[in-house]
Formats: sequence, structure tokens, C-alpha cells
Amino acid sequence: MKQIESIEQFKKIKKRRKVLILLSQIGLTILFLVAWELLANLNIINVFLVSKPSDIFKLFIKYIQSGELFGHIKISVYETLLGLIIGTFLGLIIGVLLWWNETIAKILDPFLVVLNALPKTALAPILIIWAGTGIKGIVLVAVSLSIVVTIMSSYNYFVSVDKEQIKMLKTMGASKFQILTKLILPSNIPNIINIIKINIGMSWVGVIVGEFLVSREGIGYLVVYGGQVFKLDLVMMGVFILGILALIMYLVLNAIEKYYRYTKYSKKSHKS
Amino acid sequence: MKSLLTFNNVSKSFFTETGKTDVLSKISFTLHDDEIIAVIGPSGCGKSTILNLASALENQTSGEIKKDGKIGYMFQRDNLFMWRNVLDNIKLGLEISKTLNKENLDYIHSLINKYGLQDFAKYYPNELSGGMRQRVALIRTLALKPDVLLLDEPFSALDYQTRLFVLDDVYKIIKSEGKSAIIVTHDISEAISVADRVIVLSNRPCKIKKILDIKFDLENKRTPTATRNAKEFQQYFDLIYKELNAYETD
Repeated sequence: MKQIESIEQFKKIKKRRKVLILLSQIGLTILFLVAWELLANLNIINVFLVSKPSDIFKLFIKYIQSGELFGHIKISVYETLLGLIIGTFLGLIIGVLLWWNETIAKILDPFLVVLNALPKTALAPILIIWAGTGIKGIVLVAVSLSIVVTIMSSYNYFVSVDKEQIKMLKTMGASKFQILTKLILPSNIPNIINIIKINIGMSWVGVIVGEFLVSREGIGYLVVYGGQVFKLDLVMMGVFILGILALIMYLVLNAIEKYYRYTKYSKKSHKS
Repeated sequence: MKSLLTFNNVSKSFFTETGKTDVLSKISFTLHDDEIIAVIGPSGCGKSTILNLASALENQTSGEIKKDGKIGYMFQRDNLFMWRNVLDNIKLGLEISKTLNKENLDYIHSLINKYGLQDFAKYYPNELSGGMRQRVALIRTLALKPDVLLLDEPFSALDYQTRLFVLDDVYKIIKSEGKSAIIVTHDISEAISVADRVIVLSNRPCKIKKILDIKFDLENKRTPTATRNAKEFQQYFDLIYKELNAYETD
């Protein structure tokens, strides 16, 4: 192995590795698509069952040209974001409440454990009947998936905050509310960002399940419709779009996290 | 001499599921202004409970505690908040007590300048050395203008080298600000090197075994490091060592 002699060289090597990783990721994706297309064209795999990239792409273009796709994307993203925000927000508020009152936490503990272990998708039909078959029902399914995890993990994060730091605030005469706002919440921002990351996936599951069950539009509807009429191109396109949308949300959140870490824990970013 | 803190026959018991534990038994002492008392005793005996009582984090079971002045508390670890820079960490106490006015801010800045932190005001804790962090923690405590400082094994998280340095540093700051202090420690030489009086505690339930006046022939040149080289140091050390050991063989 070559000896690293200067900081420029060190940076260069690091950068080269980053580029290598990115190129490999792109390469792998292309390789996968090309192999799929080739195997389909050579009739080694059954196009009727697995479709092929060029057909999916053609369909994609068709849906874009007709403008139909954006409507579906819009409604699904809207439902997911709504489910994500409501689920995370309510979950955090309840997490705070449990932290605030240990007795309530103890009382609710077994119920939360059961709710958490229960596959929430089994509740989806009931929830939709309760809330209605429109957006409301679908968002409620999404919320039901993210809220329980949010409550449990946020509560655990809140109670595991350093006891000595709490004691220190008490010696300064801090009220419980001040302990919450000066210590518990700010010290847990990285954890809350993690919870949101998990909830993105949860909300998508909720929305797709909800759309499977009732909706007339959205990506989940496209997928389930494609399946019913055996148009696997449509199913595959829906899955791809879902993957891309989830990736975009994840990247946005990653950027926020990175920004937070840079500005919050180091002076270097402050041009003072 | 003004007395700032008086313990009069103070006892403390804890109740747990397994029963009642007597932690402190009839503790009496007085802390005067411009005085440092070190409390030393076997580990787990309840030294920290004395500080918790003094700062009203807990209430005594019986006895009387008289206070004349504000209390500031310093912990084993610096407990700096990672997401706040040095200046914001120091401001924490003022935010809590909602006294973040011009006068107090000026006082903070004068402390920061006096103790050489002005270049680090915008730094975050993870960018500072252990000794520097302890200094920030001390100034955070001083920002609330306490009359009495309670130090709970404040240096035991530091390595030995840094510890000697920080001890000198903190001693000088306490003295130059004219504060009184109670320092809880299990390190005999640390106790002797900073204290005007050493209180030796027994095993649980903690009683005062002996109160020892520490005097050095150093006049105004006393620093913790200087005392370690003074001829009286060894005698005090032996005395306290014997007192502490008498209990372990009981």
C-alpha cells in the first residue's frame, strides 16, 4: 500500500474512493437492467410474468404524456407526507407526555407493547371503515403504522437522557418544562431525525396498503390495478416509482441531518 | 467570619423496597466565607448526599440546614451540552433563571475574558480538551454568582496529569472570585491540597469521624501543587489515612 504523504493526497484518495463507490452503484443498476432486458429478449425469462425494462419505460413515457402519472404521484406523496407528519408529530407529543408522567407511561406500557407487536395492516380495513374510504382512511392507516413506533422509541430516547445533566439543570432551579425544552428535546434531535427516517418507510407502507384496499388513484392503485388485469408492466412501473420517491424523501432528510450536524457540533462551519 | 452554610444534627434515610437505609447520621458542621471544606470518606458512604441536601435537591430526614447565600453545583463530569457552544453553555443557568440581562451578560463576558476563554466562545464542547471543558463548566456555575460552590468529585473523570492542572486552575478561580466551597472527594491528597478543613466520614451510616484543620506555612502563595511539596503534607496524609483505614478494619 502506498504511503500517504500529504493532506492533498489523503483528500484525493478519499475522493477517489467516493467516486468509485458511486460509479459502482450506477454500474450495478445498469448491469441489472441490461441483463433483465437481454434475458427477456432472448426469451429466457417470461416477459408476461416479469415484464422488461424497455416496456416499462415505454409505458412510463405514455403515462407521462397523458399526464395521468403526475396525478397518481401527487396523491400518494400527499397522503404519505400527511401520514408522516401527523404520525410523527402525534407520536412525539405522546412520547413527551409519557416522559412527563411516569405513572401514565407505566399504565400504557402493556397496551403499547401489544399494539406494537400487532401487524397494523390487519387493522387497515377497520380503520378505513371508520374514517371513510377517501384520503382520510388512507392517511389514518399510514398514521397507525408510524405512531406506535414513534411513541415507543421517542419515549425510550427521552428517558435515557443523562440523569446527571437533568440533576445539573435542577440545581440551577429548572422547571420540568425547562428540562424538556433545554435538554430532552435538543439532545434528541438526531434521534428524532432517525425516527422520521423510519417513519417515511412506515407511511409508504400504510399509504400503499390503504390504496390497495379502497382508492381509485395513487401509486398503490396503479399497482393493484395492474395486477388485477395482468399488466405486469404497470405493476413494475409502480414499484419503480415508489422506490424513486422513497429515495428522494430519504435523501432530503439526509441533507437536513447533515446540515444539522455541521452547524450544531462544530465551530468550523460558523464563519465567525 | 460569616457562616454561609450550617448543618445541625442532620440525618438522612432512604426508603427502598428492601427497607430503610440510614445514609447520614447527625452531621454537623459550618462553612464560613472564603473557606474550602473537603469531605472525604469511603466510597458509597453518602458523601454526595451531603451536597444534595445542601443544594436542596433532597430533604433531610431530621436536623436543620441553614443557608445564607446562593449555591452552585459542579459535577464529576462537565455535563456540557454538545449542541451548544461554549458561550451558550455558560448562558444556560441565566436562561433557566430568566435573568439573561445586559448586566449578567457583561459579567459572563468578563469571566470569559478573565479566564482565557474568549477565543473559544464559539467552539463546541467536543472541540475542547478535558481541562478546558472543566473550566467552562466552572464558569457556567459561576455565571449564576453563587456564594457557595459544591463540587462532587469534580476531577475524577480526568486523567492524573490533567487533574493536577485543573485542580490548580479551579482552586485559583475559586480563590480569586472569593467563593466558599465544599468539595467531595475520595482522594486524600486532593482533599489536603485544596482544603482549609477536611471532614473525615465513617462508613454507612455516615458519621463525622474527625474534622481536621489544614494549615500550611505558605501564606498567600498557597496552591494545590505547592502544598504537595510542603512539609506538613505528609503528616496530614498519614492522619487521614489512619482515620479512613480504622473503619475498613472494623
